[in-house]
Amino acid sequence: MEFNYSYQKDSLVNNNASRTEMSFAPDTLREATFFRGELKQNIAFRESISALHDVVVSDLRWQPKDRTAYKQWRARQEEVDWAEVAAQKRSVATELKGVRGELDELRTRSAGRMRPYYSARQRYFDYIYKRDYDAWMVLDPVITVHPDEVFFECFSRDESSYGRLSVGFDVFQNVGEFACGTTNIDYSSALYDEFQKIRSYKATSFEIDPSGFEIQTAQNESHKEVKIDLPESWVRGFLQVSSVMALPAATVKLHPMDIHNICFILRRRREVFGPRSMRFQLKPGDPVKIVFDPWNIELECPRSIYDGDREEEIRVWGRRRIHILERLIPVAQSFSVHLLGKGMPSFYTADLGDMTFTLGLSGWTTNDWSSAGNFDLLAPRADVDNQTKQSVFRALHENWFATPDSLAERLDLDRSIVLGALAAYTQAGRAIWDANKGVYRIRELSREPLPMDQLRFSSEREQSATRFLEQKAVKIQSSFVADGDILVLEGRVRTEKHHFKPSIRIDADERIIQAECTCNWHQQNRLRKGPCEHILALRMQHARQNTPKRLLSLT
Amino acid sequence: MRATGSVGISTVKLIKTVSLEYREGNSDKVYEVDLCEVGTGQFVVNFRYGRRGSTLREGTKTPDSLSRSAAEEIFDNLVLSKTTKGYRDAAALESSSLEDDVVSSNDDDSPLDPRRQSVLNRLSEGHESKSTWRLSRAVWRAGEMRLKPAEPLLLTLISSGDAMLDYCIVWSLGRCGSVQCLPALRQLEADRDRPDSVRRIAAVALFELFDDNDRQRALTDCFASLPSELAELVQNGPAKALSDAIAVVLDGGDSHAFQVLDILYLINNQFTQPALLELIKTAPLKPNYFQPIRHIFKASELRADGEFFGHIAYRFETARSNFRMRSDFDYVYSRQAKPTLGPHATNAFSTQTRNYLRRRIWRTLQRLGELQSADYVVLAVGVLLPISDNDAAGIREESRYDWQSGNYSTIHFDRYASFWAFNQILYGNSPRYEPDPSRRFFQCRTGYEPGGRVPEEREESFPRLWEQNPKVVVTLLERSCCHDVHRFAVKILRDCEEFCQELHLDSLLNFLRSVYDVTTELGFEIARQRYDSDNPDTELVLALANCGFEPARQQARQWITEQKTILFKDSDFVVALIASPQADTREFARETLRTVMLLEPFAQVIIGRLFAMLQSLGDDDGLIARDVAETLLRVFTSQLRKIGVEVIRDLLRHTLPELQRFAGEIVLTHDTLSKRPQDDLLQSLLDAGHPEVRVIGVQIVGQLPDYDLKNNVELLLSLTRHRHADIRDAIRATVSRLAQSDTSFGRRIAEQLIEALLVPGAPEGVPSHTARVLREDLSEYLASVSAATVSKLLRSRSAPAQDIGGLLLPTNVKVEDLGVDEIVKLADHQVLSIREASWKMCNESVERMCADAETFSRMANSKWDDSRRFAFQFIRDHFVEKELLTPRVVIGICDSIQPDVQQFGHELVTRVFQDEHGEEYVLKLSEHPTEPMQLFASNFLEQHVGDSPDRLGQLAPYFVSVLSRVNKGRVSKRRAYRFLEHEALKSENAAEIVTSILARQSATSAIQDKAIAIETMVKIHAKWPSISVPTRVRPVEVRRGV
Repeated sequence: MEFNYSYQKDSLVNNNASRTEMSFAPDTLREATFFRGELKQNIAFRESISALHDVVVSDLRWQPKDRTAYKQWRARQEEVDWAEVAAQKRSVATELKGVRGELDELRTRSAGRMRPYYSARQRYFDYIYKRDYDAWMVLDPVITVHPDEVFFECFSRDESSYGRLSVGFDVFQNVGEFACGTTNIDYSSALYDEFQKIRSYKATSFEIDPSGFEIQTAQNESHKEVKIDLPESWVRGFLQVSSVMALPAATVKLHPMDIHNICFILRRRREVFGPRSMRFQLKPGDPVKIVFDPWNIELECPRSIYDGDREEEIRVWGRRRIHILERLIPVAQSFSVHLLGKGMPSFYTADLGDMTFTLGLSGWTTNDWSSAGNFDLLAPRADVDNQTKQSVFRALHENWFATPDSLAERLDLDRSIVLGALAAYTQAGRAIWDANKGVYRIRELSREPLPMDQLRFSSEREQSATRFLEQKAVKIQSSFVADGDILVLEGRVRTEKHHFKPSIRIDADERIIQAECTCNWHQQNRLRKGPCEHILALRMQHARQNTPKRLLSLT
Repeated sequence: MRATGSVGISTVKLIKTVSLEYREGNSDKVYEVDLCEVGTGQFVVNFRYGRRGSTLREGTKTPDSLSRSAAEEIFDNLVLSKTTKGYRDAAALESSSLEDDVVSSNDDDSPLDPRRQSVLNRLSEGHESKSTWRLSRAVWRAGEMRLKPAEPLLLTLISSGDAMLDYCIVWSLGRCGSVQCLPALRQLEADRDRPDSVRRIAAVALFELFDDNDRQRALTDCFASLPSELAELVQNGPAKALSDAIAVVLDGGDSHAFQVLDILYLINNQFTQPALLELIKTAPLKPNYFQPIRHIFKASELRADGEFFGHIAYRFETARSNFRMRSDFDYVYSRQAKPTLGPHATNAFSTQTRNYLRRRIWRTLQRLGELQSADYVVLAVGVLLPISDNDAAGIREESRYDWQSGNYSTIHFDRYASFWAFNQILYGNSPRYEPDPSRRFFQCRTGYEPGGRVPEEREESFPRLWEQNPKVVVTLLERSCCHDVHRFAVKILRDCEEFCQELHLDSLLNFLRSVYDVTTELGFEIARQRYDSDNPDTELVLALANCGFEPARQQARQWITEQKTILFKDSDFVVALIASPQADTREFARETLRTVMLLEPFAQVIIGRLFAMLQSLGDDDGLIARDVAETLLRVFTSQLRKIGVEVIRDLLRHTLPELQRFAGEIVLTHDTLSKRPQDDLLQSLLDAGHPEVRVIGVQIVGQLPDYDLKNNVELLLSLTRHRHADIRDAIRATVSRLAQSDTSFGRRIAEQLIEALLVPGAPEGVPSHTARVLREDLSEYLASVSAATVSKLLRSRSAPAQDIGGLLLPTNVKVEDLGVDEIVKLADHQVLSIREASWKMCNESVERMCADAETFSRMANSKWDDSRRFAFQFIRDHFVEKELLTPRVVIGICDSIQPDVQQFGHELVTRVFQDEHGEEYVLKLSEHPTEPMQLFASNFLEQHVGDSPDRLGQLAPYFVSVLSRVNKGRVSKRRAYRFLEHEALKSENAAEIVTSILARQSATSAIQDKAIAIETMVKIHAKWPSISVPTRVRPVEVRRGV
């Protein structure tokens, strides 16, 4: 999916001893959006925008170790070993020893002579890396200006973390002229370095530069055209995470030091085996208790009392992503955690006074097929006709944000219809739910509307699996736990002509570790191209049966 | 015939004796039979046998003496039985080898030849014989032998009811019959009750035996039986149209439609022949095609039609079989076999069929060869010709396990190993190759590997037959495209010296034109004998000069040098020599022509013909074109200077770059065009696709008069910024020369180049080339470039433009014109020369830098290591007075997040620290986000924050930040806790602030920190009981022990 931007100039941060001037270059191809103001809460802003940067660059996917050097050494050593095996006679061995000594010396000398070259080369690579670092950014953050706040949104490279920093107008003084809307901003890693120089004793001005919209000259030399080819999975991940914010969730309010303690436990240990999950044990009226697998460490949060109405245990994965919040611990007043359910996205909201930082985490760090087939986050949640949808959207557009109740009242519609329409727009990336203020806000993720029909499913197989579920063609025949904590599912999928018998083994990290099916596709491809539609359907059926009750009504 | 004594049996009189011999492969045996009269009316038959030269073993066929007639019968039977096994009469062989003039001995039906006699005998016995020799085989044999006397016997045998026998009889009659058998054959052909095969072969036989009138009549019938769309084409051609029409007729037709192929082969005229051959070469060996092809194969065998026989044989050798017949012994359930015969065949050409046919090709040849038939040579040539170098496979080897010895041996296969008949013909008696045990391939004998030494002696089967037919061998040399065949044929011709002396000149020239060295070498040897130096044959000399054999060309050059006055009078000869396909001959022609005076009209003729020749060259003749062009330029220099512009245009239009270049070179030396080339000529040279041509174009531009060039700056500019690198490089020297001769021109072009450098979108390589020209050639003319342009260059996104900006920065921009901030900005530039210039400016105006220390200090934060290092050193060297380094400046440096800058900041703080600034430092540095700076700030706590609850309050975020660090910053944390405890116990105000910090931090799960926090809070509570702390004292649980 290709995204095109055009920036009038680079985003700049000018720092001197007494002033910091931040000037973001907006995308001139989008509707004119600008803002100008001066910051009051400098340090908190610095820390939270740095946390946002951490989201942008976050990539916790497993990277294979670079073993080329070892393999070279191994190959050389193998020669030596074989030579040794061959040299059975003592005389040969001694000769070999002499020659090897000589060879070692030659190698040392050669390494010594090559060292300047290698170090120069390394420096050159570093330079290239630094110069082209911006190419590592996936999508420039999105800035939205609304009549009451400005907010930044971004999504991580590994397609699993979502960050949103909303800055209320109270953080600014001398707010100048502004135009509401959403735009992308030119963003580079050099900006991050400059953010670090924000201080409370320096006047810090903040602007989304309006000058870019004034005159569009044809071939300005400083004009910057950016073309980004985003993987569809990235966009789908963004939409999935941001659209589930409005779903009902178990909410826990945590003291900042609780987040500190979570990070502390994770920093001091390194998991070798799974499961790599965190279990929130929630009991109404009791302190929240968090259990870390596989060590079974219990963290009690005595200052955070759960005030929900049901006792439950919720498991979440991908916990190392919480480290993004570390910088916010000193400046946050409290954190609230929204948990949708086991293996479902979770949200961490840091209350920074007039600012709010929201970190949204998808169910797992890696969104590959092994965890596919869970809750369908982009499924339509209510049947609302297009005209009603559009009228709701137009009404929302008038004020840029509104509560569902006020919209229902204004449009004289049922609340559930309004909510359904808003949910559809949220899934399409055109609106978001602001949990902090309890309002829906207009936010157009892209200039052109996103092709939702392409984005809903990651593959045709997922689509047909959903169809099986709708047709109630899937039946779980047996499900039991084997070998400790391996869940084994066996079932049957009935189609017009055939019956298929898929079976799956799911490990404690909710990954498919083994799957079988009697269909031809599976026989030919096994799991090399991911599971077949019948395996997916079986998995989905199981997930549906175990969906938290509060989400059941939505599907 | 000789008399031989015999031991044991008293020989009285030797009546007759036959000495038979058998030679094949390694075996060389003799078998001698004697008929002796041991007493009156008493005869015996004795024999001796064994390897030639060894002691022969003896025996007798007559334990008791017999009457003469009985003994003679036994004698004849014995001889016959041996000859049928392959023995041959040694006396007959000797006599036939003496008869040079006789092409073959097949017409030699002397009654003395026992082999022929025995065939006749068998035929005369007819069906009544008890012999194991089947009649049909004897009949076939008669045909192979073209045994004329057999005709009446054969006629009597017709219509015995055995279709196979009839088929064989008809086949034989076709080969050995005469007009006498026509009625019988006609009857067979017309009899619809006979099998098709017999009628078909009868038709072929008839055509062989017809006289002209009969044939004409039969042809008319054939034309009538053809579909109308073919009949016309068959009679009048052309062959191509016929070929297409056949394809149309056959397309989708059933097996009946395919019978036209049989008829077409019967007709066999100049139109059907190529059309049919074309079909045979490409037709799939599948049902409906395969059967008529097989019929034609048989018919060609009858006719001894080498061409068809050979091409079909080639298809059988090279095509893959379509399937494999299941044998009866396969333990596989097989369904009803699909029909492979008859009009409804669904499959054809099985693996077994293919193997059979491949073996049959050689068997046919072998039997003819053994009969010393001339047909052997004709068919063998037919088999050899279609095989070319392209059919050579890769050499391969195979490891074979010997069950007896238990050893593996490596067997090598040469490149033509898979061609059975080919190898038999060429290598039947080879010391190198032998048939492999499966008798499907030829393998290398032990001791020979592919690529090894080729033996001197001849290796083919039936060598004598080849020697008897040298003309056929010449055909082979003229037409074959296979190296092995050439080597084989040359060896034969070497043994036919007399024939070679008489060889026709055309054939000799063909030999010399051959691409195979063995053949050209032979041709060279013959030519050398034939050359007459007094009256040289131009054709022969030319052929030698153009041949691929180096010594031959040397010889030709020598002859030409000796006789150049005579030879160079022939314009054909001269032109052909100049345009020889051989590079060294072309060069020789060029050099020799330079030493010869050519008269003007003669030279014009040669030039004219050479240009015509050049126009006819194809895309692969680049080298010839280049050499001819060079010869023309060198030898005919004066004529080319005046040559017409149209000729040059023609050359430019040619696709060969060499000719386009030649056109350019003519222009370059032309009397009028070189000074004033026509625009279209120059343009097409400059736009040519090939770099060599473009360079000539640039050379033409370069030699234009300076005045013209200076007035045409546009042209020079466009060439300097041309998208082709070679043009840019070629014009560079000209531009440089002009600039040096005329300063104002230099300035003008330099300015325009700089302007061009600022325009984005130039082709790749152009900006960097422009920058190089400006830097290296035109640097003297850049003095007038304005400071504004320089800064434009520096700000440009293009690296070459920045480069030139950097070059001009020190010379064209005055330091005074630049502000400190601008200089600092330049130090951050990615081009090293610009950064260097910036440092130089700093060093030149130290006072200005010191006056604006705050701005300058930003250079210490540059993203470039070298600029940072320079800034550090500059500050150390020049900012010696402490007043210059105010806390603002120092803190500005410390604010960086780069470790080296922070360290430098520490260094500066310690150097210029004054107590009165302590508070400022601690307050400002404490806001730094990095851990090392927080640690550094903690150094100042005791001294500058102590005893001041206000400042403590200001620093509360700092303490929270330090204490909230996850699992790091141990030292800072310890300092902070200690300091907080210390302060809290000093005053109540401070204690309140400290309590609020600790109350938050005490929720940590780090045991050490938690303990300290609680301990401190307990102490605070003890000292200031009014301050509430979130601690609760729990009574110690008392356990009652024993």
